[in-house]
Amino acid sequence: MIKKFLSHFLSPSLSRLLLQPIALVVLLASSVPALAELELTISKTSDDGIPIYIANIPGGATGVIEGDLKRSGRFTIIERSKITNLSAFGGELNGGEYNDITDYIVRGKEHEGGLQVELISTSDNAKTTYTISKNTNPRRVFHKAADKIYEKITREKGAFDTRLAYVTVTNKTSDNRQFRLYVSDSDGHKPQVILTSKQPIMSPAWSPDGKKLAYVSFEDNSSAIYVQDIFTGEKFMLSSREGSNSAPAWSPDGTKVAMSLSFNGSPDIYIVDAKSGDFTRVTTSSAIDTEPSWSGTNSIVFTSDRGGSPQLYQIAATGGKAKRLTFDGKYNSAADIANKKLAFITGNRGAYNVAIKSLSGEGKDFLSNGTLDESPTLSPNGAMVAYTTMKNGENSLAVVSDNSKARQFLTSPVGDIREPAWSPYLNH
Amino acid sequence: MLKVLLRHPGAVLGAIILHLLLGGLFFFSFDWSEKPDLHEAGIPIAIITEGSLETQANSVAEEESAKPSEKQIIKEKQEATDAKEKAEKLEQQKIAEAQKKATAEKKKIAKKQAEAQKKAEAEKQKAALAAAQALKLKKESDNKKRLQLEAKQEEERLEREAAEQEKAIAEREAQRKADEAEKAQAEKAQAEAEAKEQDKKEQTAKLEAEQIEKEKKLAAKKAAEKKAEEKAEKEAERKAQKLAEKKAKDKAKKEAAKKEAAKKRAEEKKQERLAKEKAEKKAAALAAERKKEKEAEEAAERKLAEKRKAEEAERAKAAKEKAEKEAAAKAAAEKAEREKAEALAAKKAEYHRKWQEAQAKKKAEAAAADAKRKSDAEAAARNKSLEKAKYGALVSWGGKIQQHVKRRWHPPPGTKGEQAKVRITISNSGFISSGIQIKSCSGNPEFCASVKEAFERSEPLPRPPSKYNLSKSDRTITFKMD
Repeated sequence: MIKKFLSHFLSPSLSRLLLQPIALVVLLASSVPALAELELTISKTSDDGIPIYIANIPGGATGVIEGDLKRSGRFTIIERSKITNLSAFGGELNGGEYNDITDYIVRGKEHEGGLQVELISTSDNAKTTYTISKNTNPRRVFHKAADKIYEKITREKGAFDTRLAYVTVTNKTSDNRQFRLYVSDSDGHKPQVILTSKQPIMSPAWSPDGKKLAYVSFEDNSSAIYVQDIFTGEKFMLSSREGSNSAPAWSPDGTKVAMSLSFNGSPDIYIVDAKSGDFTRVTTSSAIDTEPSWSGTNSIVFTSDRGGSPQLYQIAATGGKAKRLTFDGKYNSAADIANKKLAFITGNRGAYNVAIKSLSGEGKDFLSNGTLDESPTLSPNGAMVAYTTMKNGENSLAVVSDNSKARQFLTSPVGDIREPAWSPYLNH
Repeated sequence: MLKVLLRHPGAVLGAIILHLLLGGLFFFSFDWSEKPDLHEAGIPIAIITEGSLETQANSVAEEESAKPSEKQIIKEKQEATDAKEKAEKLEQQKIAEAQKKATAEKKKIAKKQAEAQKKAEAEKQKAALAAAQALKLKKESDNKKRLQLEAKQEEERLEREAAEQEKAIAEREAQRKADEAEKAQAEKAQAEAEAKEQDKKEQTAKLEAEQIEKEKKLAAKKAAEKKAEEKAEKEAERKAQKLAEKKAKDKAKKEAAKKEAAKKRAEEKKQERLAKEKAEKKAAALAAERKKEKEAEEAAERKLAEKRKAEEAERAKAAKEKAEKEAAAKAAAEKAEREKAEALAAKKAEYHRKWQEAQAKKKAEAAAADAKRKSDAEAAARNKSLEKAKYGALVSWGGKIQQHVKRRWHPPPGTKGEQAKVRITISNSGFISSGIQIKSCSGNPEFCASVKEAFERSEPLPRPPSKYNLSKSDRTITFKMD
């Protein structure tokens, strides 16, 4: 018809010339698949984690591994009743059979005092087996297994086999008040007292090797910074200068300790050599500069009220001009940095909550919703934040995942818990 | 002829008009104003009248003022003659042409008429043929009807005769049966009467015998009574004895008489039995005679039936021969007719076969076209359905990927509102085959890196549905990460 129509106006050759491309276009249009390229949307607001099924492992590993993975906020633990006919460790397993239930299956068995676990991907039936050697603290074996699973799946190092240090105060209103410095597993289990004092103990800070703790003690009736070996109990005083000696923070290489000293008037940030005790001044403002936290080896983030209200600033470890990091709200303090993330306390309408932000970013996410949450400390992989929160008139220890999907209150000894500090990865 | 002409009124009208035209031409071809032989006088003075003198004078004056020379006059005369000749010639030509035209028209009409006549004749012939054929058919039909009627009549006659014969036989048989029944009834009645009589007699004898027995018993009883009385009354005994002897004698007399009567009765009975036997013998003889008669009748009937049968066979044979002859004639005629019909039928069949072949070819072509259309439509529907199913499978697979990646994406904190667009192609084994292409990213490098890391740590992704042979473009997905 088109041809006929065109032939009315055009010569046959010209109409043919015009018709051929039209036919080609029609042909192409008909041969093009009706399916357009898929376009999907992935939102950050996701409630569920990666489904994982932990089979019953003799010796109590199952509960520990499940608790660790759950606390990270990255996993959804599949109820054990969902899979009942699973073969034992090492047995034949067709992952595809369980693909609709879970992404991964974990089986394990005790092995020479340690543990053997296998992680099976149900999508491709890929199996990875880990052998964890025995440890005097069997829970560490389980945490190590959880770390392996976490790392395999998320491609991030696990931080379950780590420790928490914190201070408890008992009888805080009486003369018999007692300050204790505790070290426990990252899940709060196995708490061990490494220091007891009737005088306040404050601001414990882990050395990068996870063997030493620097803390503030008032045992000589004035503030002083000590460094103590958690295994031997040996300690030495790092700084007991006039004025306040507070908020120690180990440099990533473990050679230096940043701290806030006020021997020069107002508290400023100083870096003290961990061996010699020599110091260099970092900040020189007349305001209060405190709570230093290392951001890499060359930079320090600290709290200062130089702007009129406590805010976070960043300054080179060698000093210089500080850069303000927080502008939102009238109170931002207590920064802790790990894996390019910065956890801090932010005040908002009379409430003080834990927030987290990217070190290079500007926005922040709230991680807690208490009225007086304090002392956030990031796990070394930055995936979890431990902090204290007021619960029943006393401070308790809580851990929240960086995506705020998981929150746990840790079991802790009696007393008011203060200033937790998350250890680095343990190499021992 | 008139009928033929009436059938073509157009031709008739055309012919009339043509004739009128020819007549008109003929009529107008004459010059009625021309004066015969007067042109030799030169000037037409004879027609001048007194009333037209002045005009004549004027006219003369004019002529005089333009008076030609003699040469001129001769020339003009010559020219007039030429013109006249020319006109005459032209007129003649016209007449000839008209005549020619008329002739041609006539010829045409004649031809038409001849054709019409021919056609009419042909039609007439055809009609005659048809009439003859119809007549023939009618004759044949009549003949057939007549034959059928005759056959029917013959059949009816035969049937009638047979029915009459059957009726006669049946009547005779019925008569015979009735006679027999009557006879049998009479015999039966006689036998019954005889039997009745015999019974009566027997009953009488029986009664008498019973009476005798009774009397005997009574006499014995009485004798016993008498004996007893003799004992009691001696005197009376003698008297009684005498009386008894007297009575006994009477009784003996009576008994003898009775015996005589019984003997007589027995004789009578014997006589009766003999009579009965005689009657039976007579009846048997009668029955035998009747049987004989019946057999004779039956034989006669059989003979008659055979005769009838023979006659019928004869008739049937004759009818058969006649029918055969007729059939043969008919068959011959039919054969001729059949052959003719067969030839026609063969021709028709050939034509029909060709037509059928053409039709079949057309049909086959149409069917093939239809089948192709149908098959194309089916294929299109199948493709559409497949495409739909494929799309469904793709969407489902996309959903799985979406969830899979979402669970593994850990964007840096504080990146709310930031977006990225990523495009990946997934291999059949679930791995990203052509790299992670960040098409756009509104966030800081850390955010953008987290998007990339999300896909890296999501490998292997849920595998594409293996049921469908997905192309690379099918396996290419764009993700909006917000």
